[in-house]
Amino acid sequence: MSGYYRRPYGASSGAPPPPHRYSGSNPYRGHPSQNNKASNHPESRYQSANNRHTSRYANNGNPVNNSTYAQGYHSERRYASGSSASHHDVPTYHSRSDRGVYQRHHSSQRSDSNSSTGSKSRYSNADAAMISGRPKPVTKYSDEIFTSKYHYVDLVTRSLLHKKEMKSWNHANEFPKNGFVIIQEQYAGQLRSKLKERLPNELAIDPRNKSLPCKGTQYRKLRLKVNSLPRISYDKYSVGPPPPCEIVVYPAPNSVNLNIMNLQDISIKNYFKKYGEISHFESFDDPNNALPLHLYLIKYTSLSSNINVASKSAYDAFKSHDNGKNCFILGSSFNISLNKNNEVEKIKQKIVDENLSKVNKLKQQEKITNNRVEKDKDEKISLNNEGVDEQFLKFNNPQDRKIPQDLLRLINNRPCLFVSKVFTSLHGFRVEDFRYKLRNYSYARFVDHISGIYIVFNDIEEAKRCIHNESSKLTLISRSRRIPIVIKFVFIYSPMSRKISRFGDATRIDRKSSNANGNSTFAKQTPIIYQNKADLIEAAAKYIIKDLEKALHTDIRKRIVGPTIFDTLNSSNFPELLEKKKVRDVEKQKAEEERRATERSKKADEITNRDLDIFKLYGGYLKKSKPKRKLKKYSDNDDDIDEREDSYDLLRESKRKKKKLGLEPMAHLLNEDSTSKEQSPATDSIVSPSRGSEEEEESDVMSSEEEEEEEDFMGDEHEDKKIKMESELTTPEFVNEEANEKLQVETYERIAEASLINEKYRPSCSILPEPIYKEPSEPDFYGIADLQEYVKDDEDMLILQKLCNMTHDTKTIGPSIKTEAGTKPESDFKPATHSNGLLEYRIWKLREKQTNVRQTKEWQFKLNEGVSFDAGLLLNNNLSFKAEGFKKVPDNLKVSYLPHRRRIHQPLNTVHHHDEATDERSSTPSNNNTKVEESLQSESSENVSVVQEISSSRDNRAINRRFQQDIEAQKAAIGSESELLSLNQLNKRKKPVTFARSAIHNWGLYALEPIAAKEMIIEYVGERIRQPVAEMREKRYLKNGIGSSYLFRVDENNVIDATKKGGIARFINHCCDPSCTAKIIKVGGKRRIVIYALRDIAKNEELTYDYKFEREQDDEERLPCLCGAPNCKGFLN
Amino acid sequence: MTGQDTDEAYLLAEKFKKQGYFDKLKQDILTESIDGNGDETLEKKIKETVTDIVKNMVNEEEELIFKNRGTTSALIESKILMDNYKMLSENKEPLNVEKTIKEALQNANLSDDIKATLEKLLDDTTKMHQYDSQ
Repeated sequence: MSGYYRRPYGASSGAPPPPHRYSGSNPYRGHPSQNNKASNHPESRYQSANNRHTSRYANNGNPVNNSTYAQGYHSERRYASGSSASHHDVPTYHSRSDRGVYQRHHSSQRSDSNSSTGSKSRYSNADAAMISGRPKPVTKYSDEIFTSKYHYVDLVTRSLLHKKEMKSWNHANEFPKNGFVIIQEQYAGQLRSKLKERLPNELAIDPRNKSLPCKGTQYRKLRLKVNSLPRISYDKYSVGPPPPCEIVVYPAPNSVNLNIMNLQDISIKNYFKKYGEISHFESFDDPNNALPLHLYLIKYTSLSSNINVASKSAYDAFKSHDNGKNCFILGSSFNISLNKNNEVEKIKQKIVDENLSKVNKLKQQEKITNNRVEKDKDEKISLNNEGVDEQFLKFNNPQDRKIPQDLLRLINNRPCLFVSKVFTSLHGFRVEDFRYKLRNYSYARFVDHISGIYIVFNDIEEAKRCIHNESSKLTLISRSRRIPIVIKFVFIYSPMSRKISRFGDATRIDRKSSNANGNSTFAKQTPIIYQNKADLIEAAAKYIIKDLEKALHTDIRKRIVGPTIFDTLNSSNFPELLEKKKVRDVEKQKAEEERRATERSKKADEITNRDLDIFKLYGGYLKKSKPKRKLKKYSDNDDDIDEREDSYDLLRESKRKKKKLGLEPMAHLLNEDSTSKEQSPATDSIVSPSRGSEEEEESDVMSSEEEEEEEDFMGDEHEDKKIKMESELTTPEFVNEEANEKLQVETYERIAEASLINEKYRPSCSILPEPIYKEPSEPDFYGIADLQEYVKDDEDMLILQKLCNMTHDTKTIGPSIKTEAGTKPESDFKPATHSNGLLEYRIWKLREKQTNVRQTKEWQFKLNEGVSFDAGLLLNNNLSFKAEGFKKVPDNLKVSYLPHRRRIHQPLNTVHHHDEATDERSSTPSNNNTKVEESLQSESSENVSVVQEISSSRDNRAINRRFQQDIEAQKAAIGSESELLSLNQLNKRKKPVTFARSAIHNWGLYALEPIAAKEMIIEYVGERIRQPVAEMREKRYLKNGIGSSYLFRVDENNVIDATKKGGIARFINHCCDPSCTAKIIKVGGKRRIVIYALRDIAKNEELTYDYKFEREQDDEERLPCLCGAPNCKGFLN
Repeated sequence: MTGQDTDEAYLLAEKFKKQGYFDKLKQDILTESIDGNGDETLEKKIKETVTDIVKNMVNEEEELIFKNRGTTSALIESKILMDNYKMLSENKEPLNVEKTIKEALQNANLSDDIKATLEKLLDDTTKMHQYDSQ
């Protein structure tokens, strides 16, 4: 037990000792026996500063006084005094037990504590010294100065100072010690207050006198409205059941819900979604008949599974409909209630019961009506009652409606349904509404009269059907009350004497009948009753005779007179006449023929002068020997007349054929304009294969020659031959000598001779001798294939060999050819006829290669749309593309392989069409000349298809207007505005256009079909923004790098921006020579930009128009124009 | 015609027609001999007359036969039928169709025949009804 404690008292093991001045103080400084007031512990001065800590050290082994005032400690024996224990807790000891937590020294300030006794030690004094060995505390500072604030306590003696003067409150023991109450007790007839001791365990009683009367019943203030209670959140501390999160939706019991069957569950669900998140949606069906009850249970939930949110949603849903009374979904009214105590089941049961009762009622009703119908049926006469069924008597208006006089004729006793004017005007119903609703019935007409609306039917069955289905069931939404109103129709029908005669008798009869009856409502037919049988027969006989007469007349006409006439008119009845006619016909034909012959002979005169010397020369040898053969046949005939006739026929036929084929005399051809002349050779060549056998030869010759000169000549020749042919014929029989004198008559022997020679080698009639085979325009053979082609026959071969100085071995092959002097027969030469496999192979290989090259070239050409690749693109080293290295292809060369780079003024094929005709046609611009035929053909086919697409824009506009009107009518019929039905009218006038790569710049807009001038093409659609916004956007786009400008000015303050949002009109490029222009038109009050065509635009042509940018002053701001037009300004702005 | 729908006499007449009596009558009238001969029936006469007319027409205008036969015959037919067969009566042998028919119809025998047949018919039908109701 050394006096030195390394750690302060009560310090926790972990906490370091706070810095402190007297850290190494001697614990034994204070002497226990010192009783000096002034001997304050040196550490005590720090006490107040830091009570906790210093108090620790203040003691240094000794218990400490209450810190608030214990500046001095007495280390005297505390227990010496017998005064009431002023026990001070020993904080240090206490605090030792609490690890590091120092509690304020609680001074259990008992009044009697005497500080002089010092702090109490746990242990008895004597013991303390013995056990702890600590000296007792001593107050060091007992001076007046230090003790001045202690007014009541004497520190030294540790006792209250004024104890003696103080007295206890209960000094005289007047009051009970444990407390008291004052009660009123009766003492000698008087009420007196008395003190009564009260013990704590007694219960309190109400001292108020019960007999005192109340001052009248206190009524509460009249509350006119319920105080709104705050909604208290339901949380884990709430008492009671959780608030309801479910609502029950059921059809309102007293309303007529006609459309409820059409209502889908999903609509209900969507309707209630707006109140909150639905976790559960259930619909209930009637267990008896499996029909939907339209009873729905909707449970709300919240995302955070907070029941308050869910219940709020349910409550909102409930409350917003007037506490569930006024819910109107899609035309049907519902009630809503919160599902407390499983109310849904109750409601369900109720509805089911209702339905059951309804069913029962209906069944009963049906029974009744069935009984009634049967009864009535028995009473009726079957014949007489036309068209009135029991069931639909009830539709009759008991007021017995009449058709107004002026409508009588119109309705003409047809069945009609009626709706009164009062009713329709009240609700604002119109004929159109009824028309729309009854569109499924085949009504004859609607009559809108001042008394109401009449719906007339031609067929009574139809009228019945309509009224069965619709009356009392059809609803229209009233325009005045905006709720659906049930409509009842009144059936009006007066079937009597419904005569619709052609001659207008109907009205007379009708009026008569209606006047007779007083009203033309439904009336019974009065039967014609015959008195006796005789009358009946009499009447019947009358009918029969009448009909007989009619029948006879018709019979005579149809069966007798008609066919007789027809047969008589047969021309075979009049043989003389026929003959006469024939004769006349023959004469006519003769006359015709003579006329033609004279014409021809006149022409023949012209021609014979020029060219017929040749015929003389060759003796009339023609390549066309076939016709000659034919002629021979004919001329062998003996019958003159027949021959003549046949020749006529021949002539006629040939003439007709000629006419048909369009082969007119050259003179005529020359008269026409150039286009047709161009056509004619082509058409000749096309058409010629289809000619008859007569002209086959001629056609061959024709097609093989292309030179105009020759063709002309051939044309003439052909003509001449024909004439000659004919004129030949005529020569023996007809004397037409002016034409024939110069011609030499061909003898038949020579013809026979000519036929022996091979066709190819027959003499031809031309000015200069011409080779048999076609001579190439330029010797463009560069391959073995061409060479081989050149050698057409043996003659050629021989010549070729001669040229190459080759000789033959006389033994091996035929005749030898003398070589020129000085040359030896080339023994190396091995003609191909010898078997030399290698040579053969080589030759074959060469051919293949050549044909391959040619073919690929051709294909490439074709694929590239007829533009061959530029020579500049060829590879230099001719080896491999990769070996070339990187090379920038200049723009002008790019044209050859990029189709969209070609000039815009030639229609391009960047727009892909799916039909082949157009593909063929739009092959290329450069091939246009040579492909006239194709284009003609395909144009015609394309024209057909295009014609079908093009309808006049006027028609289109009319169609669109009608469409617009249709939509408006539908809108009116539906009765509610809907944005879905609004049209962009300008959209209708849009022409078919599409975007594709452009030659001018990137993308452009192309016309898919030809567009006429001044037609509207498309609207420039985009975001409509104001001027300042546009300016800002322009800058921003430039900053962002969007170089193209898609801002289009509408007017001074408005701009259309199609940069990010817009129509395809934004793709139209600029051109200095535009094909389109922009106009501003007003549609529906709004200004819009519309693109019109300035001139006719061809199919696949790019649309262009003048951007009309302002001229920039700064030259660097100017953008170059890429349009390529001849009058291009060079810059966009 | 609604009025006739309920007229019993009319219905009876209909039945008569259905039985074929009507057509028979018609045929009889047409093929009845006029002038007492077995040869000349109304029908024949009409045919002859018509043929004559047409031939005359053709002779006057030869082109007729070469034109469209259907239309020409229709035109000629309407011409003939005009004014109650006027043309027929203007012919060489006047043929008054109208008169002939009327006479035939007014023949008392005819009506008697008809009535008898009708009566028979009625009897048959009533008998049938009796059967039904039994």
